[in-house]
Amino acid sequence: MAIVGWRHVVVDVLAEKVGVLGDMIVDETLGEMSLVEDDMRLGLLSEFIKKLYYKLPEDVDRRKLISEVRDKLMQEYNVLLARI
Amino acid sequence: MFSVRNKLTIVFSLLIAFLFGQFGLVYYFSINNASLINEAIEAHDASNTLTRLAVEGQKLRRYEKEYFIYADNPQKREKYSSEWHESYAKLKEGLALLLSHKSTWSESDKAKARTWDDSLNAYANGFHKVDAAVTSGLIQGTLNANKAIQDAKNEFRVFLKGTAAETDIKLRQARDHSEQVQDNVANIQVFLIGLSFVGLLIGAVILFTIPGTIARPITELTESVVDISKGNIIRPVPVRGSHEVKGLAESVERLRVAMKGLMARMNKLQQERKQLQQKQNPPKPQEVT
Repeated sequence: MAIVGWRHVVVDVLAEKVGVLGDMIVDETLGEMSLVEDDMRLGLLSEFIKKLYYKLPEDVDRRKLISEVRDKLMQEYNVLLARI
Repeated sequence: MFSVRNKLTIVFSLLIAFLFGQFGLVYYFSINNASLINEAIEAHDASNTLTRLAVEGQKLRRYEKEYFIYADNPQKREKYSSEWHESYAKLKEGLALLLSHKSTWSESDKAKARTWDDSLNAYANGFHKVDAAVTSGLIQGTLNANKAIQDAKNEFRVFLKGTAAETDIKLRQARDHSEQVQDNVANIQVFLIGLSFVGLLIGAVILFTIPGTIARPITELTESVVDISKGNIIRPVPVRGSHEVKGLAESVERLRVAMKGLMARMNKLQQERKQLQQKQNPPKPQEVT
């Protein structure tokens, strides 16, 4: 079952550190996974987050930012996601 | 980290508290001194009054002596009797004033004044009796008259000694109060000098810390923004300073990171486009002539 509103959650957290780039990074990551927003399933989230990590700029604390994304998603959707 | 508003509020609150404390101390010393000065003036006035009474008491005794020296001379006797009565009236008036005064004289002072009044009355009664006896010729000659007044004179010593002793006490009180005033003034000077130094110290600390802590992060942030506007987006924006400046610096840093990422992607796209163009339009081989 597709997750509703996940993109908004992720972009919101990313925007805190990378601004407008967050939206672009999410698109690029989806592109690499050959997915569109509506294709996202709970089972794909962990892989998405892992790929997202490498897309983030080096100027930010990537580990911390990804951890925030993961925590936010777990909190919103009540799921358990693997650590990066 | 404090915001600029909090920093300024704390600094100005400290200054107001300091000035309020200074005002309180000066006010306390002023009130204390005013009361001491009043007490010194009252004690001095009292000592003046007592001095006048003591002097008048001595005059009374002198007129009495003159009276008895001329005990056998009715004209001179009359003159000194009249002077004695004048002096006596002044003493009675002075004592009455002292006893009726409300603030300057304490109850113990008034009790003493009443004993002096009794002493003066006893002496006056004795003098009047001897005067009547001398006038009627029952007592003749200076020596006899002196003998007759002896008991009354002894009674009057209470007045003379009492007023002299009390004059000293009141003078000492006035001196003590004025010394206390001098001590207080010296203390105020020390306090004010000390407080001025503390004030200068606080001012210096504020002068050398607060403007720097507010302006330095803003200057650094301005430099970073100037760098970014000129295309230098490598250096991260320092995020420090007060709450407000920190928030602004974080936003600028976010812009820098986004701009850097966008520029990297733009460059990558351009390179890909060039490669595509090269693939579509490969360079023509040069003809060999």
